Amino acid sequence: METGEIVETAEDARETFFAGGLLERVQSAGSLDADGKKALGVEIKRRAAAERKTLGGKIKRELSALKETYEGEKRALEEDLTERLRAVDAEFAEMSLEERTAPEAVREYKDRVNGEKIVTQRAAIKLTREYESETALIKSQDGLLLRAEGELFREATGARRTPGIDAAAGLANFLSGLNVKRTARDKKTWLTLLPFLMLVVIIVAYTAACAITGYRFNLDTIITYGIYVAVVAVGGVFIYSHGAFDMSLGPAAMMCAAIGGLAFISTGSIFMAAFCAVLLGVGLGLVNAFLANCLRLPVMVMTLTMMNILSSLFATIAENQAGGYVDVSNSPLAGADIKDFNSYALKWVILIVFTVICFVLFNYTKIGRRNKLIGSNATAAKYTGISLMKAGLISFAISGIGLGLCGFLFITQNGYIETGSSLSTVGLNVIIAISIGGMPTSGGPRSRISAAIVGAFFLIFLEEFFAAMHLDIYQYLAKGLIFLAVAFVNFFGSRPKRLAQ
Amino acid sequence: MKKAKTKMATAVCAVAMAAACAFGLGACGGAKKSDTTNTLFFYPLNYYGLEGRGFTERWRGMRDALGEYGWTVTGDGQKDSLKFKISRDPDCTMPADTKIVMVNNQTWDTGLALTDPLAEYRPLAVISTCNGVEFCSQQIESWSPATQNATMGGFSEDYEEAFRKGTLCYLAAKYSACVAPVVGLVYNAMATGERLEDENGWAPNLKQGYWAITSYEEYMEATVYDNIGTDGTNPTIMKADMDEVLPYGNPDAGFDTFAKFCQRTATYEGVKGIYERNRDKTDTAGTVRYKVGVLTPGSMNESVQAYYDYMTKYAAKAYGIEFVNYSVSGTVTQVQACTQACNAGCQGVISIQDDLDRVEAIKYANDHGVFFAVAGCNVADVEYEDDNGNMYEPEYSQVKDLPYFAGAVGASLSADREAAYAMTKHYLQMICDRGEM
Amino acid sequence: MTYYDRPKKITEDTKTPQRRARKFGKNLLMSLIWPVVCIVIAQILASAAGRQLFATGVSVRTFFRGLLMVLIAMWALNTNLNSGRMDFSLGATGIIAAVCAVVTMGGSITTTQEVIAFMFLCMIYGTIFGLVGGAVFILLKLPPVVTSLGMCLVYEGIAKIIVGNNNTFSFTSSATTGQFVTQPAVLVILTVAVLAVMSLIICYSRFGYNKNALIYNQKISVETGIHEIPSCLFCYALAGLLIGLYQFMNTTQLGNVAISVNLGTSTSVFKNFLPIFVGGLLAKYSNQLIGSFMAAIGTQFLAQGMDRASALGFSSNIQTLITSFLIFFVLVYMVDKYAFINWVKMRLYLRKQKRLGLIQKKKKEEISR
Repeated sequence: METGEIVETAEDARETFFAGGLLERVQSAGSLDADGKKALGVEIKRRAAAERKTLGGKIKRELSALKETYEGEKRALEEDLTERLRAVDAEFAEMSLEERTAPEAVREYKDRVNGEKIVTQRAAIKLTREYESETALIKSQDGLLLRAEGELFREATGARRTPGIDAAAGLANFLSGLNVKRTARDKKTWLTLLPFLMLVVIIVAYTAACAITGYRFNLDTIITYGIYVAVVAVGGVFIYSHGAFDMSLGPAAMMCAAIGGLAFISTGSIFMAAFCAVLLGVGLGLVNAFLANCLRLPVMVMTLTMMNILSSLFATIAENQAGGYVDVSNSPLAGADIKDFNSYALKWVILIVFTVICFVLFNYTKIGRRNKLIGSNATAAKYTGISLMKAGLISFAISGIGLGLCGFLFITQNGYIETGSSLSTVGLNVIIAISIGGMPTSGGPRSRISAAIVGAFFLIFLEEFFAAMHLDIYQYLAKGLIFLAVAFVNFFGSRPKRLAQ
Repeated sequence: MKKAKTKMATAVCAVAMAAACAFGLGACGGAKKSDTTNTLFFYPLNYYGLEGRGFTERWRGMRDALGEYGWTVTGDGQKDSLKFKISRDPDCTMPADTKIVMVNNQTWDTGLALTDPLAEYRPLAVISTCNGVEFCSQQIESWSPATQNATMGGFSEDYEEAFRKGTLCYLAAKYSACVAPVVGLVYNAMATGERLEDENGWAPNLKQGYWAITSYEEYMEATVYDNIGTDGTNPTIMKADMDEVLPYGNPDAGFDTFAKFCQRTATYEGVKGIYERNRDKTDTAGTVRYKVGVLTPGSMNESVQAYYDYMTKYAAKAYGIEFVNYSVSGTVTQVQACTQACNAGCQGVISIQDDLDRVEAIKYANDHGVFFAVAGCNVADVEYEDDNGNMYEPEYSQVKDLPYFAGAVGASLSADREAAYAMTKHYLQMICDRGEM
Repeated sequence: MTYYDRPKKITEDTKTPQRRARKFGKNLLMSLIWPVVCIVIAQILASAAGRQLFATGVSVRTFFRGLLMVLIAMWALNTNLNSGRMDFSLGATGIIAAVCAVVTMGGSITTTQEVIAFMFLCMIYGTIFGLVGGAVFILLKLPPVVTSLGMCLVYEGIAKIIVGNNNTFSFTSSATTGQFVTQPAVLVILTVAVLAVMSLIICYSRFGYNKNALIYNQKISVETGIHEIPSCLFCYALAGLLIGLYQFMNTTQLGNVAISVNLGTSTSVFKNFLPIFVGGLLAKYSNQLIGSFMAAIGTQFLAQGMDRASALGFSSNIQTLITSFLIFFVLVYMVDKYAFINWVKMRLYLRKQKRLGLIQKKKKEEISR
């Protein structure tokens, strides 16, 4: 295919667009003084602008030419197909009626026709791919020009960064690679986007409900009651991604809250409270990891038993407090009220910082990649040299940090914690949240941190939606049905053929 | 091998069956409908050292009565069963075979803990702090039918049925229309834009009492005066009463008139008088529509339901208020429910839920300019100390100055304590009167 | 070249009467050891607290009622659990079955006939709701945890709508209602019926064989012609039936049905893990059914003993702690703990080798890719 003066790399772009002495001058720019450098920079920019002007027309021309060629070739393919089909028909027409209607002949005829069609289809696909890559290349001219411009400019003036040009280059590069039609047709894109879309839908529904019933749209409420599940779920992704389970998250969070509160009473320091809560969370995570990964106890049963143990332990702690609950607020021993440290800003900061850290750990370090591999095939992971024990310990420990933060936030919000508080079902809500967020509970490559956040906020917006609509007793049934429906839609494409086990 | 296993299985099964039958048949006797022993069961719920709470005061009332009859209670306020003891004083004059048993050792219970002890002791009575019909009646009926059931609560169909069947014998009851003054208070605050204040400039915190009912006849008589206006007749306390004693209807009225009225509603005779006077009255309907959130326990028993019915079925029409229910449960705290009410644009909130979060809820409502009132019980106004000697600020002094706290009218801590004291004394005296069994 | 004679009828020789008796004796001993030990411990605990293990005949009867309830609950849970399906909706299934049964009965369960009708209604509704749960699981093909959490929310939601604001759904009851299940005749009939039906289903039916085959390998089983979907539906129906019966016993003794929302019911049946696992251990010496029966007797006696010794500090929390730790012991006993020991040994060995310089410490670049 004729591409004319199309450049393929930034190197080529330099040669093509900045030919005629400019390049040589840049190479010898080191000897120039500041003003000279500046002038050179301006000249580069001017040249780039001029090139861009001509480039715009050229790209358009090239694209239309390319399209024409592509369509012509496609037509040719179709004509070829009709011809070949006609040939097949003719061949069969020569046969006698008996020969033609024999089952073998009918089948052969069908096979031949299908075969011809498939050959054409494949050729068409190949053609389309070529066309798409050519198009992308042509479209990338802008980006390449910008990149070359940036490089030259830096070389000429000695500047370290050229953020404006770089950003423009990045944008142009992205736009040239973007194929809206193809992306829109890709099922995977939609599957990935689905949870986000559903979150948007529920937020719109909540807003609409607020508008209809006069309910106040209140982000403070959302963060106050949504943060517990969100924080624990973000940590929990590490556990679930490597195919493990933790049913004891709820009582563990309650223990963290209780210990954090007691630490506050005895020291009066909010940092000690946070520290103790997180430390206990990590400790409990490590115990679970030890039992699950080192002693190889069945995770589900082990964590359910752990849940019983932790809730009994919590009840025992609470019983030894006056009133049968852990009361931190207004404690005369601490000299301060823990609720004074409660603020919306603190909640947002903790949530965002923790999420960002987890996001980085999960996506840009070994920890996340390792977990995904273990989640999709533990045996394969083991034989690629991954230590399952180490991975388990790290995952449970990170989830423990989430537990600790959740407990700490709970105790600063409420000032007390008692048995049967909303934290006790946080573990189950985490499962619901990450399923809604589009991550399978069995872990694997589809695990992602965003699932936790999206799911947790979906849940709280759903709850607030019902509060705004004031649907009272119907909300529980509706919540169950919506959850099942959302989970079904999320996993529609990836469901196993056989019954899940 | 397989055969051996099967045979073995059959044998083991047979042995087990035989054992089961032997045990089962041996136990055929069951609970006989004989008389009861001189034993009293105490079944307090939610009492453990929750300072400044009605339930704790109810248990303290029981403890007071026990102390008066020569029993010492130690280690209460803690749930540790090892520390908890009820011991007989040397100078106790009660019959020698008297036993006092603490059955419930939980914050909340299902009543199952009663089965074995009932069959073992066949007590004279089971005395509970609340929900006696819900938790104890079935057990008493099944395992010791002669035992009496004494509890504190309100008027409802279940309680009437229990009195009729004899599974409830003593009830310290709050009448359902006792929420009426609170509705008036909130309406007054919303209509006039400022709350009613006493001479100190504080929110009203007025007391009401319990009615002690000991028989089906008494119960049926009292039910007449417990009218919440759902049957089309006038309720016990009407809007017309409030019109007279509150500034929104009567510019001359003030805290004194209101307090005086509440004083009358605090006694059985007083309520009877108000009821009789109200038979032929008619209300004048309110003109402005208001929206009031009602914070109720997630599990509304029938007496709480009656409070709510008074509001939605009578007061809604009479005052022109839209009442919206917000449930408080383990997962939705009172602050959260109050937040929902404020978000929904309520101008007033009435709380029927007495829990640890109430002060926070009042503060939240105050911050958002919503009038908040407490019904069913009033707000603790005495300083209290825990087992370690730490003094706690009473709830009332934390909220009395908040301009949007409209006040509280209901059973006070002392009323709770006195009612429980009277109930316990009733049975202790009964044991003394019948002597050794 | 030497020829060896075939060993003479080795199979028949081993089955001498003595050997059989010995085998039987060993099996009997191992089966009975857990309940006997538990009974002894319970007796010791009770006497230490200065009380009898059973105060009255009623205590014995309620004890056996409790035993039967544990048995039924653990079988209901295990029906799906041992197929790898954790069912969080089980508690909610029972509750909604009881609520529907009470509604059908018109809120009055006083006479013996009414109680019996109520029992069958509970079981029927339980089966129906179990089947619905199974059908949803099969249709959606989502992981069982997700499906059952969803169904738990749905069932709790429906129950809440039926019951309304109050969390306890009460009905008119009488002394008969509370005493029915503790009548010795009823207890014996129920126990025998449940044991017989379960043994027929688990040990001597096509369903039982198919279920076991599916547990070991679903793919191979399906390819050999076992239909996994009817088997799965049957499991759910059976679990529903059992939990319906369990809820019937629970409801009649309480005189009301307790409703909870927001997954409050999900963990209620998971308290019966101890008998399930002990039963799994004891099953080696008899069969699945007898094993779990023995296990339940043992745990129930243990609980009774601790209950009676509450004056010594065995509060309900301490009891839960003790049972939970027992589960850990059983689990650790059951699983392959040598994997961990070997891992530790391997670490120590490697460290020694490294110290002796026999293997080189890998460079960091080599490890991370």
